[in-house]
Amino acid sequence: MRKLRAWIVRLFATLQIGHTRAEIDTELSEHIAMHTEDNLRAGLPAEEARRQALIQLGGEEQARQAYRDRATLPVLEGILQDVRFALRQMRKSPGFTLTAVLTLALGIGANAVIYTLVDSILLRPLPYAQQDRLMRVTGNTFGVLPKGFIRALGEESRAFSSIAGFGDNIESNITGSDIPERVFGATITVNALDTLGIHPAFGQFFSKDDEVLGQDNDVILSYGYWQRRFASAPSALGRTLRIDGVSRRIIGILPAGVRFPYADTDFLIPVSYKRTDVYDPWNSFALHILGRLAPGVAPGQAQAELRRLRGIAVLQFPWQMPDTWVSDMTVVPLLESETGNMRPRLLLLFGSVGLILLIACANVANMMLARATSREREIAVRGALGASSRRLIQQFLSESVVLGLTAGIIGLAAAFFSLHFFVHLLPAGTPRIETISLRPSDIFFTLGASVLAGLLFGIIPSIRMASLNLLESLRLGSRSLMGKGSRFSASTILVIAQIALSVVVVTAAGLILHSLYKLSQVDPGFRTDRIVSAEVSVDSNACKAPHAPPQWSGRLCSSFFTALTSSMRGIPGVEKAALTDALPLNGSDSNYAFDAENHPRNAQANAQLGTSRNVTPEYFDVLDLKLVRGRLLSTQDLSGTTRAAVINEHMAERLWPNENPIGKHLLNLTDETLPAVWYPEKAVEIVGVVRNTRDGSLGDEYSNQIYLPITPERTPPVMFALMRGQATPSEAAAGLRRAVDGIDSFVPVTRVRTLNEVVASSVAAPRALAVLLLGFGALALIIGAVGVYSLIAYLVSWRVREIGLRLALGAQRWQIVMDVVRQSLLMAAIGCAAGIIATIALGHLLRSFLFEVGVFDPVTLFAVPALMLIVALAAAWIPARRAAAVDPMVALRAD
Amino acid sequence: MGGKSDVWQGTLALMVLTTLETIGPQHGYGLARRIEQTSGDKLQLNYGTLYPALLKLEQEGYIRSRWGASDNNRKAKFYELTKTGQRQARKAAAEWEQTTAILARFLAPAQE
Repeated sequence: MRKLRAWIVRLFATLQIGHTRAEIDTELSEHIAMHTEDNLRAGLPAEEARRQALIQLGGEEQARQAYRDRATLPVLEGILQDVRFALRQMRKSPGFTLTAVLTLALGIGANAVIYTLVDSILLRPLPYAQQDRLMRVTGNTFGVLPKGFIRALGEESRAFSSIAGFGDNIESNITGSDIPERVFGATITVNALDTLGIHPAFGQFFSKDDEVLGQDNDVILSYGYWQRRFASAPSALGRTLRIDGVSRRIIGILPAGVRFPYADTDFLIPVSYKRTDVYDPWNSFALHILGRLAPGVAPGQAQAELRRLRGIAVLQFPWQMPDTWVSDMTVVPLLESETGNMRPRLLLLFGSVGLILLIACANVANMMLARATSREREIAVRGALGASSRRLIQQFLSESVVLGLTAGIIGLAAAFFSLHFFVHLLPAGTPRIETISLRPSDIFFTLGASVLAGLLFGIIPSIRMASLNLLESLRLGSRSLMGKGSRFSASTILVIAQIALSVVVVTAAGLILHSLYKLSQVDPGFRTDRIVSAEVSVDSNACKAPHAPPQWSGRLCSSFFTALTSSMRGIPGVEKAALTDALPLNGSDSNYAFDAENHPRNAQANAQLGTSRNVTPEYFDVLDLKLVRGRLLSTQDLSGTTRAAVINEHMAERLWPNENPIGKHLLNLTDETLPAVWYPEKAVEIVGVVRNTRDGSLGDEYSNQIYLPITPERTPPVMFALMRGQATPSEAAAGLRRAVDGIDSFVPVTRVRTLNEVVASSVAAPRALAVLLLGFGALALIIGAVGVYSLIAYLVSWRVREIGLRLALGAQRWQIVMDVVRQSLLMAAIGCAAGIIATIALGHLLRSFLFEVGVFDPVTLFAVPALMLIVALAAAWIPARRAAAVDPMVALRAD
Repeated sequence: MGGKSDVWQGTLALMVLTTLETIGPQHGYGLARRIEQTSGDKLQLNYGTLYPALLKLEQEGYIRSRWGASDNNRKAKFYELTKTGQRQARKAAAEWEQTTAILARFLAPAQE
């Protein structure tokens, strides 16, 4: 404790070393004066009086040194001295300092930004208690599971202390006193928030009572929504919100910073059970599993237990499930499951900015090597005065570390101000995007990286400078005619390495860009131009109409959309209009599990899978979806009596390769009461086959697609209007708004986009990656070019006398130019070769990002070296011109 | 100069503390002279070692210093004990007495 106190006092004394020294000097000289006076009084002669005083002090200088050493921290003092010296050196050559600091700051800034993204998205813990014990459990065949199954697992499991479920993020209409809003919400099992280990900011969370249908009319709000809608008023608790037509009491507010289950989920409602209905726990496949591991249990053990429990839980279904259904389950940490798909992309970016920093380091190392030459005499003098080479290396390294830290601080500032811009470049669905911010850990990382970078680029020049031949350097006019060949070998290797690293970054960017281009060339299979889409959402309960007699079920929704279909025809500037419940390439298609005619299925086997969308007959016309066989859907099919369906070519060829698919039947599994039993009265009949379209994303294979007419029984509450014509998006939206108002002014019209935008947003993730990588590729290229330029320029200035002599001896100026350019091109060629070999060696890391482009992509492998050679040529041009302009007389007379 | 002893390692701090406890605030030179006087001029004190020792005690919080004027009106730094310094002085003195008492038992038979 006392030691620490002393250390801190000494640290402060070191920082104010001037003041400390002045005090010591005063105290000692006064001591000597007092002692001398006393000696005089004792009768000693003046000279002897002072001499005796000094003897008893043990020598003035020795006493002072011992005193000072105790007052301060001598090691720190040495470092501070080096730092001050380094700063003086930096001020002395502002051109060098500016270039070096800027080059490094670019590299460090890019690293700071990407590390902040990596840290914010992948590394920082989720805001839950012991969040590393929280696991996501997923079944291998089905993403969503029935609540009864999850409850059964939770009751049986010992490996998990708690197992909970949560539903998809679903947009709902919320009405209170004022205008209706579209707000995202999710259902959660009543134990979900306790499983997370969080506590309400206000109010309470769900209780067991909320599990009972009829007592479940409670809602928990997100902190953000509570702030926005209720201005953070605690009185919001106990108030009632109408959510899709159901009144729910606000019982609690989530803590700030908790976004569960999804980033934009604003309300949570409980999963409840119908008391008497044995089918109720099992017939809705809607929940994802979340679990908290019991103390001391490893994820692998939990997984093994779940495999065993699956067999027990599946027996509780009131019907027999296929053996293959969720035959395996995996347990993955929650954080990893939320951010896993971002990991490879962020690591790729991190890798490329890491390379950029290396390029910048090589660049600065080269500049320092060049400068070392001009500092030879200074170093030689200091060596001659007794500075050891260890002391010299320490001082040079301090210089480069100070340089690195200066660049680090500038890079950090740049990262701080540009972070917002980078976040903007990320695709909208990026996990945890809202939590991205520069935190102390990121600053610490950046400064650490700066110091490391400083040591890295400082080490070669330092050793070289410290090992200079003293005598040779001290001799005046030590510049020999030719310069020393060996002097530049390190620089040349550094520049070649720089080019090679740039080639790696640029080639990676090029490959990704090329695959993005390939992706954008994919024919989605439907028309996308001049089409505007907008979402029209009726309260989901209006479609269910729980209190209406069964024969009325769905009629409210259905009549609304029927009316909308006819009034949409009158929107000015819109020639054709259709409704669908799933936009193409929007990732929102519904799964359609079905049995097909002539394809009998064992009850133990899985059904066929496809995606379905409910559409009005105009859908095909609006999207120019070409008919291949049979007929399209017609208005007659909308009544539901024809039970018509249209499928795509892919499905027709797969199921009935050499048969006519027209007239064949499909049975949706949600329509069957017993598995694998054919109910002819519920099956739909295939009336037509249309062309394939891309479904999930442009890069996906074709899948089975089923188009069903919107019938009164099958009218979903949320529909997308598609309007094709001359109208601008805002005109079309305004027209649609009027059309909707004419039927029900409480129905919101949201998310107005052109279909081109919808398609473009489906490639948002690869595009963001390509944009970022291209930016970093350009950065690598610029820093690399600066490196080539400065080395060539330096070589030329070094060779001025040689060039002058050659000119005097009759060499042509173009020969001099060629000579300089050849040198640059040679370095570029070697660098390119090394870079391409490295890229190919690292190619497997890139493969998952590429679409229809191999690592041996000829376009990229040709374009990148070509680009590099052009850059090398450009970088050599100015020095070459300068070399050719050398005046032989001036050059030979100089120095 | 014969008959004078050097200051034993580690005892200077104790001498400083006890001296300051006896005479109150004093500057470095005065303290040095006082220590020599107390020893009955038996001690050979290197004044140069006194200042780092004072600084160490100050850094550890046992004494504090302030600038003032000496008797003959010279600028001097005056040292005085802090509360913890007073406690430390008593504690160190007790420890030292115990040590010498133990040592004395070893030395007593040899004198017989």
